[in-house]
Amino acid sequence: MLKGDFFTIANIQKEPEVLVEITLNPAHKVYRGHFAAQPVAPGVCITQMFKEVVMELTEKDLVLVQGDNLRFSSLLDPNVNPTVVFKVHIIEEEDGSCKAKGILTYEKIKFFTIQAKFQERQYF
Amino acid sequence: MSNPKHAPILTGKEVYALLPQGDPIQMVDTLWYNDKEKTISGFTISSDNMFVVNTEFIEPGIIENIAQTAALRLGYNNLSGGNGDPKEPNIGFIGSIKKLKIYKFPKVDDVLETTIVIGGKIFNVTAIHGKTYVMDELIAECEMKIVEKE
Repeated sequence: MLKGDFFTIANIQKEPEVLVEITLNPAHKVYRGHFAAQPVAPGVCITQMFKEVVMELTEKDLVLVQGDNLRFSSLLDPNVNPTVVFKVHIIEEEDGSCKAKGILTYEKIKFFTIQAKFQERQYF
Repeated sequence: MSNPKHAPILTGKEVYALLPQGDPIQMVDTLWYNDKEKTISGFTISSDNMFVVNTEFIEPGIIENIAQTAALRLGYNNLSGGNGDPKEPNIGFIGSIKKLKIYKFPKVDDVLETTIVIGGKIFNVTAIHGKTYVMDELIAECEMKIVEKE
Protein backbone atom coordinates (compact mmCIF):
# COMPACT_ATOMS: atom_id res chain seq x y z
CA MET A 1 0.00 0.00 0.00
CA LEU A 2 3.00 2.27 0.18
CA LYS A 3 4.58 1.16 -3.10
CA GLY A 4 3.74 3.63 -5.83
CA ASP A 5 2.84 6.32 -3.29
CA PHE A 6 5.28 6.60 -0.35
CA PHE A 7 8.05 5.05 -2.45
CA THR A 8 8.81 3.53 -5.82
CA ILE A 9 11.37 0.90 -6.77
CA ALA A 10 13.89 2.46 -9.12
CA ASN A 11 16.07 -0.59 -9.70
CA ILE A 12 16.63 -4.16 -8.52
CA GLN A 13 20.04 -5.79 -8.70
CA LYS A 14 20.12 -9.51 -7.96
CA GLU A 15 23.78 -10.46 -8.33
CA PRO A 16 26.14 -10.70 -6.52
CA GLU A 17 23.82 -9.47 -3.77
CA VAL A 18 20.27 -8.20 -3.79
CA LEU A 19 20.18 -4.40 -3.81
CA VAL A 20 16.88 -2.57 -4.25
CA GLU A 21 17.12 1.11 -5.10
CA ILE A 22 14.22 3.12 -3.72
CA THR A 23 12.92 6.59 -4.55
CA LEU A 24 11.04 8.28 -1.71
CA ASN A 25 8.13 10.65 -2.32
CA PRO A 26 8.41 13.77 -0.11
CA ALA A 27 4.87 14.77 -1.12
CA HIS A 28 3.28 11.73 0.57
CA LYS A 29 0.45 12.68 2.93
CA VAL A 30 2.13 11.15 5.99
CA TYR A 31 4.62 14.03 6.16
CA ARG A 32 1.81 16.49 6.96
CA GLY A 33 1.72 14.92 10.39
CA HIS A 34 5.22 13.46 10.74
CA PHE A 35 6.19 16.05 11.46
CA ALA A 36 4.78 19.48 10.76
CA ALA A 37 8.13 21.08 11.65
CA GLN A 38 10.37 18.58 9.85
CA PRO A 39 9.55 15.69 7.50
CA VAL A 40 10.80 12.37 8.90
CA ALA A 41 10.00 9.03 7.28
CA PRO A 42 8.13 7.11 10.00
CA GLY A 43 9.96 4.00 11.16
CA VAL A 44 6.78 2.00 10.68
CA CYS A 45 6.57 3.13 7.04
CA ILE A 46 10.19 2.11 6.49
CA THR A 47 9.29 -1.28 8.01
CA GLN A 48 6.26 -1.60 5.71
CA MET A 49 8.43 -0.56 2.78
CA PHE A 50 10.82 -3.42 3.62
CA LYS A 51 7.90 -5.86 3.71
CA GLU A 52 6.72 -4.65 0.28
CA VAL A 53 10.24 -5.02 -1.12
CA VAL A 54 10.38 -8.62 0.16
CA MET A 55 6.93 -9.21 -1.37
CA GLU A 56 8.20 -7.86 -4.69
CA LEU A 57 11.25 -10.12 -4.60
CA THR A 58 9.39 -13.29 -3.53
CA GLU A 59 6.17 -12.52 -5.47
CA LYS A 60 4.20 -13.48 -2.36
CA ASP A 61 1.59 -11.70 -0.26
CA LEU A 62 3.22 -11.59 3.16
CA VAL A 63 2.59 -10.66 6.79
CA LEU A 64 5.34 -9.57 9.18
CA VAL A 65 4.79 -12.04 12.02
CA GLN A 66 8.09 -11.57 13.88
CA GLY A 67 10.59 -8.75 13.92
CA ASP A 68 13.85 -8.45 15.76
CA ASN A 69 16.77 -6.05 15.89
CA LEU A 70 14.88 -3.32 14.10
CA ARG A 71 17.20 -0.38 14.47
CA PHE A 72 16.45 3.12 13.24
CA SER A 73 19.92 4.64 13.28
CA SER A 74 19.44 7.94 11.45
CA LEU A 75 16.44 10.12 10.71
CA LEU A 76 15.40 9.84 7.08
CA ASP A 77 14.25 13.09 5.50
CA PRO A 78 12.84 12.36 2.01
CA ASN A 79 13.95 15.80 0.79
CA VAL A 80 17.55 15.28 1.91
CA ASN A 81 17.75 11.59 0.93
CA PRO A 82 15.19 10.87 -1.78
CA THR A 83 17.24 7.85 -2.91
CA VAL A 84 17.98 4.99 -0.54
CA VAL A 85 19.10 1.41 -1.07
CA PHE A 86 17.87 -1.76 0.62
CA LYS A 87 20.34 -4.62 0.80
CA VAL A 88 18.15 -7.68 1.24
CA HIS A 89 18.83 -11.31 2.10
CA ILE A 90 15.89 -13.72 2.01
CA ILE A 91 15.64 -17.37 2.97
CA GLU A 92 12.37 -18.97 1.86
CA GLU A 93 11.16 -21.87 3.98
CA GLU A 94 9.05 -24.81 2.85
CA ASP A 95 6.10 -23.96 5.10
CA GLY A 96 5.47 -20.73 3.19
CA SER A 97 7.30 -18.52 5.64
CA CYS A 98 10.50 -16.65 4.90
CA LYS A 99 13.21 -15.01 6.94
CA ALA A 100 14.67 -11.78 5.69
CA LYS A 101 17.40 -9.39 6.70
CA GLY A 102 17.53 -5.86 5.44
CA ILE A 103 19.82 -2.87 5.66
CA LEU A 104 18.71 0.55 4.37
CA THR A 105 21.51 2.93 3.47
CA TYR A 106 22.58 5.76 1.26
CA GLU A 107 26.31 5.80 0.64
CA LYS A 108 27.83 5.78 4.11
CA ILE A 109 24.64 6.63 6.02
CA LYS A 110 22.80 3.74 7.61
CA PHE A 111 19.11 4.35 8.27
CA PHE A 112 17.59 1.02 9.21
CA THR A 113 18.33 -2.63 9.84
CA ILE A 114 15.90 -5.47 10.41
CA GLN A 115 15.65 -9.21 10.87
CA ALA A 116 12.18 -10.46 10.16
CA LYS A 117 10.04 -13.51 9.69
CA PHE A 118 7.18 -13.27 7.23
CA GLN A 119 4.27 -15.65 6.78
CA GLU A 120 2.23 -15.94 3.61
CA ARG A 121 -1.02 -14.04 3.97
CA GLN A 122 -3.18 -17.10 3.27
CA TYR A 123 -1.68 -18.91 6.29
CA PHE A 124 -1.96 -15.99 8.72
CA MET B 1 -10.18 -4.01 30.31
CA SER B 2 -12.82 -4.15 27.58
CA ASN B 3 -15.38 -2.77 30.00
CA PRO B 4 -13.46 -0.24 32.04
CA LYS B 5 -15.15 0.69 35.26
CA HIS B 6 -13.78 4.20 35.15
CA ALA B 7 -13.89 7.06 32.70
CA PRO B 8 -10.92 7.73 30.43
CA ILE B 9 -8.37 10.31 31.59
CA LEU B 10 -8.25 11.98 28.16
CA THR B 11 -9.95 11.46 24.81
CA GLY B 12 -9.86 12.81 21.27
CA LYS B 13 -8.54 16.36 20.94
CA GLU B 14 -7.02 16.26 24.44
CA VAL B 15 -4.96 13.25 23.34
CA TYR B 16 -4.00 14.67 19.93
CA ALA B 17 -2.77 17.87 21.61
CA LEU B 18 -0.18 15.82 23.52
CA LEU B 19 1.16 13.98 20.47
CA PRO B 20 3.85 15.34 18.16
CA GLN B 21 2.25 13.27 15.37
CA GLY B 22 -0.55 14.82 13.37
CA ASP B 23 -3.12 13.69 10.86
CA PRO B 24 -3.00 11.23 9.02
CA ILE B 25 -0.67 9.35 11.39
CA GLN B 26 -2.38 9.69 14.76
CA MET B 27 -2.83 6.16 16.10
CA VAL B 28 -4.09 6.64 19.68
CA ASP B 29 -7.27 8.47 20.75
CA THR B 30 -7.78 7.65 24.44
CA LEU B 31 -5.67 7.69 27.60
CA TRP B 32 -7.15 5.13 29.99
CA TYR B 33 -4.49 4.83 32.65
CA ASN B 34 -1.10 6.23 33.58
CA ASP B 35 1.17 5.63 36.57
CA LYS B 36 4.88 5.29 37.29
CA GLU B 37 5.10 1.82 35.73
CA LYS B 38 2.59 1.72 32.91
CA THR B 39 0.29 3.51 30.52
CA ILE B 40 -2.86 2.21 28.80
CA SER B 41 -4.17 3.75 25.58
CA GLY B 42 -7.20 3.18 23.43
CA PHE B 43 -7.76 3.53 19.69
CA THR B 44 -10.74 2.88 17.43
CA ILE B 45 -9.87 1.77 13.89
CA SER B 46 -11.71 3.86 11.33
CA SER B 47 -12.19 2.88 7.70
CA ASP B 48 -10.19 5.89 6.46
CA ASN B 49 -7.14 5.11 8.60
CA MET B 50 -4.02 5.24 6.41
CA PHE B 51 -2.93 1.77 7.58
CA VAL B 52 -6.23 0.02 6.81
CA VAL B 53 -6.04 -2.30 3.79
CA ASN B 54 -9.13 -4.32 2.79
CA THR B 55 -10.78 -3.51 6.18
CA GLU B 56 -7.71 -4.77 8.09
CA PHE B 57 -5.40 -2.64 10.23
CA ILE B 58 -1.96 -3.83 9.22
CA GLU B 59 1.50 -4.08 10.78
CA PRO B 60 2.73 -0.46 10.49
CA GLY B 61 -0.44 0.77 12.18
CA ILE B 62 -0.20 -1.78 14.97
CA ILE B 63 3.43 -0.86 15.68
CA GLU B 64 2.74 2.89 15.47
CA ASN B 65 -0.12 2.52 17.99
CA ILE B 66 2.33 1.02 20.50
CA ALA B 67 4.92 3.75 19.84
CA GLN B 68 2.31 6.48 20.20
CA THR B 69 1.14 5.04 23.51
CA ALA B 70 4.67 5.90 24.68
CA ALA B 71 4.44 9.35 23.05
CA LEU B 72 1.13 9.93 24.84
CA ARG B 73 2.70 8.93 28.16
CA LEU B 74 5.60 11.33 27.63
CA GLY B 75 3.25 14.13 26.62
CA TYR B 76 0.94 13.53 29.58
CA ASN B 77 3.79 13.30 32.10
CA ASN B 78 5.28 16.55 30.76
CA LEU B 79 1.88 18.21 31.14
CA SER B 80 1.25 17.13 34.70
CA GLY B 81 4.84 17.39 35.88
CA GLY B 82 5.50 20.85 34.53
CA ASN B 83 4.27 24.23 35.59
CA GLY B 84 0.95 23.73 33.86
CA ASP B 85 1.82 25.48 30.60
CA PRO B 86 1.18 23.06 27.73
CA LYS B 87 4.40 22.85 25.73
CA GLU B 88 4.72 21.87 22.09
CA PRO B 89 4.82 18.07 22.18
CA ASN B 90 8.39 16.86 22.13
CA ILE B 91 9.26 14.95 18.96
CA GLY B 92 10.09 11.31 19.67
CA PHE B 93 11.28 8.51 17.43
CA ILE B 94 11.35 4.77 17.56
CA GLY B 95 15.03 3.94 18.14
CA SER B 96 14.73 0.19 18.06
CA ILE B 97 12.26 -2.68 18.23
CA LYS B 98 12.90 -6.20 19.50
CA LYS B 99 10.80 -9.32 19.92
CA LEU B 100 8.00 -7.97 17.76
CA LYS B 101 5.21 -10.48 17.31
CA ILE B 102 2.02 -9.90 15.36
CA TYR B 103 -0.71 -12.48 15.91
CA LYS B 104 -3.74 -11.03 14.19
CA PHE B 105 -4.87 -7.99 12.19
CA PRO B 106 -7.58 -5.91 13.86
CA LYS B 107 -10.45 -4.83 11.64
CA VAL B 108 -12.26 -1.54 11.01
CA ASP B 109 -14.37 -0.58 14.08
CA ASP B 110 -12.24 -2.73 16.40
CA VAL B 111 -11.07 -0.93 19.54
CA LEU B 112 -7.41 -1.44 20.43
CA GLU B 113 -6.26 -1.40 24.03
CA THR B 114 -2.50 -1.09 24.36
CA THR B 115 -0.59 -1.38 27.61
CA ILE B 116 3.03 -0.29 27.79
CA VAL B 117 5.16 -1.16 30.79
CA ILE B 118 8.18 1.06 31.32
CA GLY B 119 11.49 -0.75 31.48
CA GLY B 120 13.56 2.29 32.33
CA LYS B 121 14.53 5.74 31.13
CA ILE B 122 18.13 6.84 30.63
CA PHE B 123 18.62 10.41 29.46
CA ASN B 124 16.20 10.73 26.52
CA VAL B 125 15.69 7.00 25.83
CA THR B 126 12.67 5.17 27.27
CA ALA B 127 12.47 1.36 27.08
CA ILE B 128 8.99 -0.12 26.95
CA HIS B 129 7.28 -3.46 26.61
CA GLY B 130 4.01 -3.07 24.74
CA LYS B 131 1.02 -5.39 24.36
CA THR B 132 -2.04 -4.70 22.27
CA TYR B 133 -5.41 -6.33 22.85
CA VAL B 134 -8.73 -6.38 21.04
CA MET B 135 -11.55 -7.59 23.30
CA ASP B 136 -9.03 -9.22 25.67
CA GLU B 137 -7.30 -11.07 22.81
CA LEU B 138 -3.57 -10.33 22.47
CA ILE B 139 -2.96 -9.28 18.86
CA ALA B 140 0.62 -7.96 19.06
CA GLU B 141 3.53 -7.27 21.39
CA CYS B 142 7.06 -5.93 21.28
CA GLU B 143 9.87 -4.24 23.15
CA MET B 144 10.70 -0.80 21.95
CA LYS B 145 13.10 2.04 22.72
CA ILE B 146 11.76 5.54 22.15
CA VAL B 147 14.19 8.41 21.72
CA GLU B 148 13.08 11.95 22.55
CA LYS B 149 14.58 14.77 20.52
CA GLU B 150 16.55 17.27 22.65
